[in-house]
Amino acid sequence: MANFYSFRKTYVTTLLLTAGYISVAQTSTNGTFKGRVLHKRSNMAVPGLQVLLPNTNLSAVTTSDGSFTISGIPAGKHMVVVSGSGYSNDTSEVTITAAGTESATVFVIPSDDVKQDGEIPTISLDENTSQTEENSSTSSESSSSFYVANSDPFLFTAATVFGPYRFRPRGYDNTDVHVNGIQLRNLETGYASFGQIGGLNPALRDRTITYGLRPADFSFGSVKGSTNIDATAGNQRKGTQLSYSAGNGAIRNSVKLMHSSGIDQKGWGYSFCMSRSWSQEGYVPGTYFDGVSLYAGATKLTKKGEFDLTAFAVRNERGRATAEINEVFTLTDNHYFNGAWGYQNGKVRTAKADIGFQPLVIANYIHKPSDKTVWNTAVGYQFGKYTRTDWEFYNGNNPNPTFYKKLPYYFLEGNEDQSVEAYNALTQLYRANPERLQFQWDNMYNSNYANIETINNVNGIAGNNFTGKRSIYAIRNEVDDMRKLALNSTIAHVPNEHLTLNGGVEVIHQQNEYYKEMGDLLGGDYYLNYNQFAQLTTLANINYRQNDLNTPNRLIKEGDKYGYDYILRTTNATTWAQGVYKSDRIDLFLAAEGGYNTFNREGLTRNGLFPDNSFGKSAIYNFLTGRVKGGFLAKLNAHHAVFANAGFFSEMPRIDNIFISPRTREFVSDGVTNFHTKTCEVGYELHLSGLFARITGYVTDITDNTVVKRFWNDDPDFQSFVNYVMQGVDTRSTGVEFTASYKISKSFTVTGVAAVGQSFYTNRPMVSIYNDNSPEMTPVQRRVYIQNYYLGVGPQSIYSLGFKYQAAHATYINANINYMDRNYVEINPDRRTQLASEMIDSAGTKWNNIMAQERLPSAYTVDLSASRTFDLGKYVPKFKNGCRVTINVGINNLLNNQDIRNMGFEQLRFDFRNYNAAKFPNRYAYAYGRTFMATATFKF
Amino acid sequence: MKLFSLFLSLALATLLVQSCVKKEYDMPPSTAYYDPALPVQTSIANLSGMIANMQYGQFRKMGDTTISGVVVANDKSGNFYKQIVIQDTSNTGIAVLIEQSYLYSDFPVGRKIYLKLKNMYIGNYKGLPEIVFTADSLGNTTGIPSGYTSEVIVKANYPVAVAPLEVTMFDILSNPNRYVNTLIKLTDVQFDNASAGVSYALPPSMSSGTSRTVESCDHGVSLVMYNSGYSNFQPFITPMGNGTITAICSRRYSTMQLALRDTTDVKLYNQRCP
Repeated sequence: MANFYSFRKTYVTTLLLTAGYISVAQTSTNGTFKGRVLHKRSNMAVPGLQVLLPNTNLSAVTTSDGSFTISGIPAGKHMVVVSGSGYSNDTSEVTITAAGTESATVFVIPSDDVKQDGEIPTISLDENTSQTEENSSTSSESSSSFYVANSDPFLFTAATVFGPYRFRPRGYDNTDVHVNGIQLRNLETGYASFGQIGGLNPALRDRTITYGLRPADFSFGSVKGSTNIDATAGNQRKGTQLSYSAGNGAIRNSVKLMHSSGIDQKGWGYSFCMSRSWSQEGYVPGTYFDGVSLYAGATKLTKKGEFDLTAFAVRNERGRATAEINEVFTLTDNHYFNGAWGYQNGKVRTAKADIGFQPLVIANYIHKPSDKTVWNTAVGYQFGKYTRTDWEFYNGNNPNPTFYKKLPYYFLEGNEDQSVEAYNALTQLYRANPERLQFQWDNMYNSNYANIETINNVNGIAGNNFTGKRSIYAIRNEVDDMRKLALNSTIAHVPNEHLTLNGGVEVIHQQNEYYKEMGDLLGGDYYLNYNQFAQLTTLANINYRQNDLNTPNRLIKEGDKYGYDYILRTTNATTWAQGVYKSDRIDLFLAAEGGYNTFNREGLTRNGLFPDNSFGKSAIYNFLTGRVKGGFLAKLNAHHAVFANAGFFSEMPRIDNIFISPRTREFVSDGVTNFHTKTCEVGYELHLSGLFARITGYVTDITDNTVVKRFWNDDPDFQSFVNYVMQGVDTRSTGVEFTASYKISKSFTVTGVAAVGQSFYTNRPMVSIYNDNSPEMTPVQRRVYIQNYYLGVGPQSIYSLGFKYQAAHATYINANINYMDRNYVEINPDRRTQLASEMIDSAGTKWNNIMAQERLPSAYTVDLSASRTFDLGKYVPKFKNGCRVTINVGINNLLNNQDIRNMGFEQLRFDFRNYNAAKFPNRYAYAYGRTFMATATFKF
Repeated sequence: MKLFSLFLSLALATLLVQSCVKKEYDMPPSTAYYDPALPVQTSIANLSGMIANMQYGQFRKMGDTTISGVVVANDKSGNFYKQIVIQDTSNTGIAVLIEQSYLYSDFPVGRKIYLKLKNMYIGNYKGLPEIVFTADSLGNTTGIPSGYTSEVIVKANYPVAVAPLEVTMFDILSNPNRYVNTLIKLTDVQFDNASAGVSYALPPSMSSGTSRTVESCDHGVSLVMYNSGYSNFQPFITPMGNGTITAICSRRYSTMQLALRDTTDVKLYNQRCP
């Protein structure tokens, strides 16, 4: 026990805030306390925190540069408390002399408050809204487009309150996330998946978030801002914590254990964290979660710096859900209907799942030659697979249980076969037996059992014939096998108290192999490696259907690669520099970045449609990128400040959007150029005693973008999967964000947050449509009239009013009332073409049904959360001081509103024969009803 | 305290190892060997007899009647579309229309099925006896909705062999109602001079279907073989020889036709009759 006690003592002395004092001559009985609040490790200013002298009831909120001033303080010794979202209530003392001014730099560390930590979203937005026709699916989990923010009420509300409703701040989808300096974003898809480091919240407490164009000290950032997570062992709070959470959302159970040694006298420290999170069934039927996460880190302090080694190994598997049309929700009377699951032998099985295991190892060397310079070099290596499972069929009936031809409405809206009798009979049948709309596993097995076929010339060997059960239905794995090596070196130099210079070099090499793998033959003996959509029409093109001419007629067993198989290799090098000038009246910054990207494709199969352009290495493509941004913050006086920032970026499109169809061919679209971002934000900040308010306006124009959609095109000229390459796409996001926080009394704070924006297309781009199953390389070109249609980026108006009651430092209750509106469905650009509207009266209903963009209904919700910490030392003597249990309960959507459509999109399939928009209606997903999460955390 | 930590670590490690979410699934049993033996009220021969007296486009609604039959043809090659042909022990067959593609995966040739006819229609569609889901007074029909098939069609054992009826073209032409929708086998036949050595059908861009002619060795009798442009054997070349052809006997108005299930049923391996 003696050991334990001493380690608590070290903990208190090393981690509590350190404050330096300067005495000034006295002339009156009251004094002033001023200074800046800085993040202990990064030295970054922390805005929006409250600095409080509890026994005087005087306080101030830090400005955007972290500074604060409290005046009128009676002389004497005062306790100092810093509190605010995401930072712990570290306390120290200050001695105020009459008429004197005390200056101090107050260092804070991230809070370990469980609620403020927020649950880390395990997926990126990309995965939520993927729409590949019938197979469109939604994630089993609410998500947030950027890391849960903890220092700013706006970011905190945007992420924790509106994240589950797919709110995307400013409509941006670009993410820049670094862990210990290493970029998490996938260079080829542009998205960062937090699943790679999910389940390890206790080790990821230290997040530095910059929003918008403000300067960060670890990277140039993105138009949305940037996040850096410092998860080095030396930065972890010394001690051990064990927590258990129970809830009814996507994850029902979670156990986490973390232990950190702190830094010993020889400068060594280590930390590890492991967790297990699971749910047999999540909130949505048929979804499940199974996650195992490990984190380990070691730090060695040296005289002038430190070495860190950090490793993450996270394996997550989660069952997905499908997005459905309104009729399905009505028939089943269930807004959480999920067609991805069905009974197999009477047991629930889900056909769609995501499985990720991509461990990440990072080595850091942080060199501090002097107090004024920090040089941080990180080398990271990440490898492993991300697999999406889904159903597959060859010459079979679409196994999607809610395929449009299986639903009643098809007999009213389909072109042929209209029959009210059939509509009524089916409606009655499904109402009485909703399980018939689930995936029919047993049928598929039995179809495979009975489908005995002889394949001749297997593997291209004449006379090599095989007879067996050929699977019509199967489960495929779409695998992304990644290897990524990254180097990032950044330097921060502070020549004097006004100036900070940052800069860095980042080089990332990424190699991903993408292929399909047979997951489950569902009772069959083999699957044939043919492309069913490239059927032969003459004997001359009999090879079109071969997915791989190098091994024709190959029989696929479980675990075999099939379909497509190719590698994308990318190297990206960037260098950036930034200067930040700070004075009492004005802060200025300027930053610039230049980059070079080179990439190519290597095909590992010879596709029958493109025998000469699919196998082997493609040409090497290069892009140059450049970005500049700058801005100022003018402090008019202690209470008012205005700021303005602007940026001009020239960046390359996603690599998988530059290739026309990387799965089958090496061609890139003609004339792909960088896209350009012009962005600015202006704002005003108000700091009064107990009141903080900020209003920000922004405009961002993104022009010349290249976007590819891949889907089944029902246009009679195609009747095939197509690659729909939209070039020169221009969009604008503009809006206003408002945040205010007012401390009504010592323990009662009210916070208001609002964001009203518009994200929309601003031009009529040209589209090149390439048939995916034909060797024809001349695309069909048409113009899409999408100007002024909204982007499908979640609710574009959000409002939240929060009330926080903080009884003591150990207890709080928080309530939020939220309202969201103007959530527009994602449009199908092909509906806004001449072809889709030929001969239709532009004043009529038919026209309107095709052209109008649906706006999802508005919704309001109420959230509650409460937390209480018990000091076990008070109750159990042997636990001593500092041994604590925190109980935390959060309830989202308290009123259990299950009618909130938080996502919708137009199907990319369109009825080009009869121009009937109702033949392929919009698909939707609903936000969860009331969910809770209760956590008990034990720390010692 | 150290012991306590160790204990906790072990407890958690156990949790980590033990899988809470199962992933392995048992394979469903095959339904191939099971005949639910539903009571059958009538034979296809009886239905066929009723339909023989109906006009083109005339349909009648059925009462609570169940029939059974074995699938003798489906859409596997694409020559049949949205229909299967079943035949029962009365050696008579009937076409069943279903609003679904790739029917062969549910109804392979040799699958015995029970069909509950209650509220469905039987009738004469341009000469061909059919079972449909709905029909109006104008003769417009809708097949069984794909979502509804498992409600009205009960699958029984598989495979059940159905031997084709060995007939001559003369038998078919002289007794059309007897052989329509049945699996028949013709011996000593060949494609006529115009139809031999050409593709089974023109590509779908030119025609949705093509008529070829099959004749007897002495050129005395002939029958139309109607091949769909959407069938997967459309570009294949018809053989020159003489031999046997197994096919479904079909009908369009008063014309008797042959409908191939697949080209493996065409066994013209002998010398062509001059």
